[in-house]
Amino acid sequence: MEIFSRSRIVTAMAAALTLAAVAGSASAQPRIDIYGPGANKVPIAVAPLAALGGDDPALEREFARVLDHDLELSGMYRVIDRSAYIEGVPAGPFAPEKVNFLNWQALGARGLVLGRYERRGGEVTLEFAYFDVPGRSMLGGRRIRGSAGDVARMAHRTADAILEFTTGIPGPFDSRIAFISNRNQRMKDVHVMTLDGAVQKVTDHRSITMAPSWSPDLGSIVFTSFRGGNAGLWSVRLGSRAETQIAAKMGLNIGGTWHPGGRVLAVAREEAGNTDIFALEMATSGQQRLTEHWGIDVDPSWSPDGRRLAFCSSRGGTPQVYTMGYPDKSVSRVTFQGSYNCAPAWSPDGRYIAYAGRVGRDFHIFVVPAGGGTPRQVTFVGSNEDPSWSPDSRFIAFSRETKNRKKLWLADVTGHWEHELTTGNGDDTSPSWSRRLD
Amino acid sequence: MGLGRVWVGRVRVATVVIGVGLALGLTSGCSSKQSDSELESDSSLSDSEFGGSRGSLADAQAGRRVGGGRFEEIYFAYDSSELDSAGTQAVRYNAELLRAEKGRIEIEGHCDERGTAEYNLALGARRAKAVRDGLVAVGISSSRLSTVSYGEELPVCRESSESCWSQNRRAHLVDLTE
Repeated sequence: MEIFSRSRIVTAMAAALTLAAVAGSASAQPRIDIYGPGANKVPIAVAPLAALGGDDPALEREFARVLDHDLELSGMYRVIDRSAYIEGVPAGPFAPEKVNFLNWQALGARGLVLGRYERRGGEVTLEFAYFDVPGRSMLGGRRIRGSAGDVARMAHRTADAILEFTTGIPGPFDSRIAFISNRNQRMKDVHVMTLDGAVQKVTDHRSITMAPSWSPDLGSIVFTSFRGGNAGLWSVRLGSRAETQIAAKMGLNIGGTWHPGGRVLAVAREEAGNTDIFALEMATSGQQRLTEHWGIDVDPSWSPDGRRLAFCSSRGGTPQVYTMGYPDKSVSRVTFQGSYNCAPAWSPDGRYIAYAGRVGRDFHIFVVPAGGGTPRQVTFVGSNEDPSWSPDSRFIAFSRETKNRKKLWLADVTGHWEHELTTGNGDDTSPSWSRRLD
Repeated sequence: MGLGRVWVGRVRVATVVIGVGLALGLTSGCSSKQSDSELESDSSLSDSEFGGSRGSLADAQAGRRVGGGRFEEIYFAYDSSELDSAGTQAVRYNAELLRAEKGRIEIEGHCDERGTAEYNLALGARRAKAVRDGLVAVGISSSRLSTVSYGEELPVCRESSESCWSQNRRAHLVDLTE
């Protein structure tokens, strides 16, 4: 399956499913309390998909593999072993009356996912519902339609929906993570992975590449490459792999990130040895200088409303995280503890800034309220850099170095849960987590 | 660079659309079967294959040891781009080599692994500029001097120790052949 498939996945809030849920529950829909990833995982049963019409075992296996993986990765759920199940998927529209809750409860399940699918040629329609077992109610249901090659994405959307039904906020799994890796080669290139671990190499620079960052429409990735000898800003289109060099100005061009509105790219540029942050107006090729300081200014990260920019600056004597207004450029300091705080990342919900702060010999990921306040340390093992938020602001992807090897990890924002994201040989760094794909 | 000494050779592999391979999970990160064993190395690839790389970048791409050459390295203190007395002496020594010549050189700025990658790129640029200014101050024509920063990307050693770190905090001079 081409992981950059542009085919549309059609999601329909099936009216019949919601009506059944409302009819089935006595009061306002109860929600399962999720105390936070890692802490009390909710045991859930995920029944094997029932086939309407012809069986497709490969589809069923792939769906289960990806859904189980996402639920495990979230740290919020524990899928009960299917060999213990005694119930299957009831026929007809999903509704609490159809469910034998006692039998699921006997397994220890607090949540239950029932689903069925129909495959017609290359098209698949999937229907699923989530039940609160102790509450004997249905929290929500969806119907998804897509091509047979998009089963993984359907499973990711199912996982996202389960998080939405149980917590109110959709999950992050139908998304992509761009990153830098030298896996299977000597030098570095841009790669993209799905949340279930499928990886594709996207560039062939075989040079030093750094700082990949998604365009708002997810059609291209901006990155820095030393191909040609100097640190230039490049853009690669995901479908065709066509590349354009955006900025070939002598000196550094690094950390290109798109303004949420899409017309402006923030970048750190070097002039005569000093590095400052500029806003490049892509339509006119104009540039606006955003910092004007003899100190080093790098690592721009836009706020989700595009009105502020977080960055790292040594203007106060040591590298620290600051924010500035855009375009008014009013600067405010965010970090005051520790002697080296850099690589800021603004959360998609606007509330927090994650950054890498040095503690002793290592770096750790910290989270601080975007307006300033007390930082919270999120990692405690290895040396960790390059934080990038999940689209639901629940998780942070980052690069962790242990035993001289760098891999991508995920941690939830409280720091109580972490999980490896990449494995295999080579060093993986600089994750850039896209928004959800819809 | 990294642990993979696998050399993908002349074939451009990145642009192939992976269709069935992904559906079967062949490239799934969860079940990677790649080993660290060395495949055929293709040492006959010329520098021009890398489109203009030079100095330490060309060394790394070709699998050669980074650094070396006829110039003396200039070393820096942690998080600093100032020339100390040893650094000034090294600049003077290099200037004497250059004074009798006309060729162009590139000054590379490098950092140790501590610190974030992008900040280190900017710090390396400062180090390169400090050496450039030092050479100009003793009479080398600035039109002969170009600068580049590689940050922490091209270290000469990888141990996490001060003795290795101090070797990586450097400016390195490279003759630019025309």
